[in-house]
Amino acid sequence: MGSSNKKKKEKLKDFKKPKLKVGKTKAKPSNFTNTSFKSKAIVVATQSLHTSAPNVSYLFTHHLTLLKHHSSATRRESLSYLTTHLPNALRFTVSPASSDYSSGIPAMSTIVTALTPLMLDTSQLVRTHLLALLKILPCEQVAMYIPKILLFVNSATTHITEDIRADSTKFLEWAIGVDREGAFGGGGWGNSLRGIAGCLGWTGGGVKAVVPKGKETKIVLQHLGTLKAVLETGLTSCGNEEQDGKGVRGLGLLHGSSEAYMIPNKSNVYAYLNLFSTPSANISGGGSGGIGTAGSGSMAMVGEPEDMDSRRRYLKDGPGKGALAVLKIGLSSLKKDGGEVGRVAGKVLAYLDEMLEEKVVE
Amino acid sequence: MVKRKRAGLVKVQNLPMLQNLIRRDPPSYREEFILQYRHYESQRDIFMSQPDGSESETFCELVGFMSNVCSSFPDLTQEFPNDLAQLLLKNHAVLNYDLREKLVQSLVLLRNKDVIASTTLLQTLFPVLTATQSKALRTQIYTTIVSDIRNANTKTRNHRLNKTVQAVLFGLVEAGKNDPASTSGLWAVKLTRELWKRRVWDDARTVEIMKEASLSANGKVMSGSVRFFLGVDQEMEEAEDSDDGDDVNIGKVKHQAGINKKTNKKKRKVDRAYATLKKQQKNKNKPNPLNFSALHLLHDPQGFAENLFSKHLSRSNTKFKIEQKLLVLQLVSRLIGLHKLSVLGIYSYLLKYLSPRQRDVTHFLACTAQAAHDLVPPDVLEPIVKKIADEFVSEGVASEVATAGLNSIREICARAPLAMNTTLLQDLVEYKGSKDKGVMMAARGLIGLYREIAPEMLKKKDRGKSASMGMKDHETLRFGIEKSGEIEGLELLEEWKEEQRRLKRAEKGLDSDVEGEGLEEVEEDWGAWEAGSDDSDDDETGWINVDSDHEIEISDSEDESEKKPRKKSKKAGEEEEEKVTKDSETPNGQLIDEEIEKKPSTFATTRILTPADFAKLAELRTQAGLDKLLGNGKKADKHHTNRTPITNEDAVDVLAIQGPAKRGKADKEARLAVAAEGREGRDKFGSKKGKHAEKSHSTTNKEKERKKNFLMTVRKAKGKQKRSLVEKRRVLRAHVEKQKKAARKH
Repeated sequence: MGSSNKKKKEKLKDFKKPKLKVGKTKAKPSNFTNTSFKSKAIVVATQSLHTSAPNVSYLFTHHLTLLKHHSSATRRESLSYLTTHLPNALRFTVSPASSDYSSGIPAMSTIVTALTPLMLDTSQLVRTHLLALLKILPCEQVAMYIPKILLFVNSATTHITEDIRADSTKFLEWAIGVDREGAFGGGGWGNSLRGIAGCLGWTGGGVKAVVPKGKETKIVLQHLGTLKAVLETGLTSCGNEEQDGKGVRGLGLLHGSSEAYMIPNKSNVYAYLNLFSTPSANISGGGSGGIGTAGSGSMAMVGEPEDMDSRRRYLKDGPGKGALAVLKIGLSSLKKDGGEVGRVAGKVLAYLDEMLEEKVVE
Repeated sequence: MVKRKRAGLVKVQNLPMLQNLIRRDPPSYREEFILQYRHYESQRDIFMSQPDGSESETFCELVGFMSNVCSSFPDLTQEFPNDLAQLLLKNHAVLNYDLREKLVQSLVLLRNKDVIASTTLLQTLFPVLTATQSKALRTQIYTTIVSDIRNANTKTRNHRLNKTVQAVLFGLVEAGKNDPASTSGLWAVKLTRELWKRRVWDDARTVEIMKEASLSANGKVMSGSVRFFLGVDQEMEEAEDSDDGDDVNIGKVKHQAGINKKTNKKKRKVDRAYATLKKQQKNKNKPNPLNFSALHLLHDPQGFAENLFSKHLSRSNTKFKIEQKLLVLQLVSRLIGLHKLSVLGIYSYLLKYLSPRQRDVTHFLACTAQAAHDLVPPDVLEPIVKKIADEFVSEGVASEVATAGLNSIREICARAPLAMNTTLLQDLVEYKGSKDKGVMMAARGLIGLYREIAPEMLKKKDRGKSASMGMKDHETLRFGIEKSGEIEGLELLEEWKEEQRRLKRAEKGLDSDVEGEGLEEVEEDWGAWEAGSDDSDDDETGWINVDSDHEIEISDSEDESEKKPRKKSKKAGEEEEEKVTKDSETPNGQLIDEEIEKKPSTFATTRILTPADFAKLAELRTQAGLDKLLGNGKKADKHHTNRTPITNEDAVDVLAIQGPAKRGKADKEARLAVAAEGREGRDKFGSKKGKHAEKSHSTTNKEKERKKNFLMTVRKAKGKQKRSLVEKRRVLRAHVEKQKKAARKH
């Protein structure tokens, strides 16, 4: 049986652990192929001349794409990168509309498009970071995107997850701070009021404010604060007319009505003409039969309030009547409950009444 | 629904959860729904700001949620269906694939929940179907539309919906009628065809759509609808057969239910199987629904045929391919044959294509035969027959060509006998002696045909016995003579009935000749309304009883031939009754026969024939034809016009014109395959040579032994020297025993 023994040994060899010795090269595996070769010269076809890190534009686009990453940590990281680097970079761009490609910063529209969906992000931290980033963005450059941003804010105020709804009013507050007219135009006024009402839990006809407890108190207070801010910005004149007057005169134009022929300084001025018809306008042109008191979002397209007086009228005896009623009932019931929340609610209610009274007096 | 008290504040985390909660208790979750509706609206606005954006998942989810629960809040969501419809209609070209699919699904869901009407759904989907470029979307919409219309028509016909949809389809077809590039009618054709096939639509309006489509200038639309007319009825039958195919195996289901784990799902499965079985049995007894073929439902076939011919087959029309023209030709000729129209232009048109070199010439020949009927003037058909005879049936041509020519002449003449003249016929008949089987058979077919319709045109030797005998009372053919309408073989049935009646009366012991007692029988007959209900087993298997004894026996009396047993199974103990029949028939037989020949039978006008009667009629007719073929004496002679009638209902079979396929010299494989064809299932008689290899098993010990190396085994085979002591002793003892035995023997 000599041959059989030999074979047995051969077979066993496979299961033996090779002994490694210090100072000796490891044995080559049986299927080793020698790939080394000799050459007189090596020619590299393309060669990166950057000795340091990748350029700025690459980094920005990279981080903007990372905002869609599935891991919330990565999204947050990217946000914080943008927070640290973007404001500095933006400061050097000349005009807001045409971003400077030589500086390597992506266009503002790209940035906004990438950032806005994060308002609906599931992670609390990401939203906080986002708010921080938005706050440090230069107002004059973001202003023209406010209507677009507000679409997402509205979506956030109606989101099914409570946390997102809670954070949504912060974004709203920021948005009206940046551009009042942009935020309230195009149906934004009614939407933002209804949004806040929704966040506070006042949606249906039989509004019953749930008494907030503990952690909720803080959120309710914040919502009330936003509500107050919205009302204040929306219902008081903050010298917009003066600004305009100054602008026209400052430019030293010849004719009084020359303003009408100038390029408008806000986006989508002719929205009411409905040139680029969105289905929303067509679908519910007479869509007052939509969601009862809450009203359909696009309903406002018809009689949208565009300035302060019309906003007031809108609440007083326009389509926003229902929303006003809801707000009043909600606020008064909060007021009745007392406490800090009650106090603030009382203040807001008083302010609301006062502003509307003022209109009547006028 | 009573508003339920909530056990606790349920925090709604996600949409499916909310959907579930809303389904259970809609009023309690009204606020949440409002919030979500607004969320939907805001998402829609975001989406509308960039419809082709990639982020559509959340919106998809919301649309699904809304369409699921919106039926719970009809007051809040009036606009929602319209919203979706507009979204789809306006943006179907740019929308994301998933969202598009979801929108269609949601609309269907809304339809199923009766939120929107079928009409609304179809009005939304039709424009998308014709406009979209996406194949997947088209398929989805198409199946949706078909199933929706089917569902709407399941219980009763939804005439309103059908009318609306048909009007839409008609409009589609009509819009693109004169534009060769427009394919908008294609979907109308496809849809109509599908619904016809499934028997959802079977009225004249449907046919009208197809009629319009077949006059379309677009080749695809036209050929689709022409195919519909040519083959949809066949398709319908096939579809039904396939429906029958998915029958349930109740035994298997029951068995599995007994073995496997018992769950509600499996229980339901068994129930369903039972339900299907019951339904099938119920359907089996139901009479076949009355349906007409599309060709019969045509309004103004003459105008249609003329239009088709002038529009598609005119010489100026060159944009259709020959295949498409052939299709049109088939339809036109079919119409002409079926409705006996006169479109005289087609015959000269056909003349052009009747040459052996023409591609698909057998189809053209079939078309020619189809277009012939007895109301076509013979002088129009004569040139065609002449040309076929000249081009196809002459000395120089191949046998296949001659076969096709002779067969097509036969088919034409069967429909329009006057297209033939005596000299030509006698020339053609000469081919009966051809060595080629196909040609010979075709010539004989021609002889057989003219023996029946005009034996005087044949030479005397070709007429045959029965035809020569019948010559004296055979009227000559003349153009335009209509025979008075009669049901083929009715006299056979009448006779049979009479006989049955006599049998019955004899059984009761009454006088068999008394008339006027028919009423009670009639009543009995109603019991056997359904065909096949009283048939014996052998009827159902489709076998025909051929009496072998009868052929050989030479009958010399009329009685014996009458005694031939009927197919109807008879109970035991009817022997004597038969005798009675014999006796009673003898004096009357002659008389009855004469009467029948004189005046047309009033049988059909005085009685209502049941399906069972018609089944019997068909049976008797086959029997009579068989009798004639076998030469069964008087009976066959009496009804000498038993040739199976040419009905213009069916298309002319191209295979009948081609004649028997000749087996050419194929390669070896083909020949072997032909040889092996008849040998299936006869393993028992084959050799067992290859069988062992087929069965897979490991090598047996014997095989191993046999194969083992000699050197390995040589040591094992022990030699004498190596035997142990015990072995040696045993061998020696055995040897001694053997010796002793041998000694005792001697």
